[in-house]
Amino acid sequence: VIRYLRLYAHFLRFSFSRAMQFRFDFFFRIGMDTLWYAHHLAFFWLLYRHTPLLGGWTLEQMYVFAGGVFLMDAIQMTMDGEQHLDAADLREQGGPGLLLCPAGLVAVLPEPAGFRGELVHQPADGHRPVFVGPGPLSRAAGRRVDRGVRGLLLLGDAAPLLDAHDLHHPVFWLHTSGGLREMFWSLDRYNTQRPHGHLHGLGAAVLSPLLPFALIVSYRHRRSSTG
Amino acid sequence: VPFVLGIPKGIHLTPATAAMAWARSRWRTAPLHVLLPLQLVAFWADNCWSLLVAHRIVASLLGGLLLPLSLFPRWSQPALDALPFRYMFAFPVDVLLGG
Repeated sequence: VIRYLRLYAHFLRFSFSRAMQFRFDFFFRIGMDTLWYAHHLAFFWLLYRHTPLLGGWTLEQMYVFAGGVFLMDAIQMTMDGEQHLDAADLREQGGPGLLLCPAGLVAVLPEPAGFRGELVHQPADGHRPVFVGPGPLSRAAGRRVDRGVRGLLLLGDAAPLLDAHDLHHPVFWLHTSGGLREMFWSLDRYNTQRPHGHLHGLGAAVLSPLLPFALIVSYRHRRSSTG
Repeated sequence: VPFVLGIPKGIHLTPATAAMAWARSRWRTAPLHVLLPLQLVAFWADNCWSLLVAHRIVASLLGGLLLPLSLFPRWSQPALDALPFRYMFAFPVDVLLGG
């Protein structure tokens, strides 16, 4: 494992210098991610202008939830996202990450072949709403989230990613990754990025037990923000 | 979807309204066609994927795909009217709803 980590460090250095050669894309990705965070917060802000409570969630709780979504997304994009979801395409192209690393290692290491900014800014952005306290969001939540709870949240955000991996594994047997990637992002959008309680009836009965995406962020952050 | 699930009450979908929605939205999205060829940036940049994603994020929020534009604050309505994004999603829906 040490050997692979050393090899990985070399990949990372090479990828970073490569990313710096194309600075337009590197910095525009930072701007794009900032826009994604802003539009996510604006979505909830606009909804809560018309109602004080949505699915049992207040706006302040929703901000804490949004912080959890950002953190989860940052970890997932950094550690897993493109590398795993693009595995079929990388295999077709003979990507160095897949050729040189065993599949299990690829699953847990950030994208070594194409370092793209996420490693630098996404964890920091994702941490900010929940972990940099007592910030405006922590204050708005009505209680100070102590260090222990924050640590547990961090661990809790990382653990369910192992479950999310299961959805990606078929890429090793597929010709291209596109369909699976779209399916994953659609499920992610309507389950992970929305709080539990927004689904009712058949949707809740089918999606919640079969695809417990709410475990990734929603349940734990609701608990942390209500005490 | 309307052919499978049926047309919900309150939606006045006739060939005339459908044609009007399509024609007017096409006409009013003309400014948007200036925005769409963001791919041209690829001539100067290695990768403009992030630019297109950013455009999609803005268009879905300000165009009414994520939320009806009537939920936006009143002070923002003139800006939303001035921007071309509403003619991608909100405007055709408004026409079909008889608005």
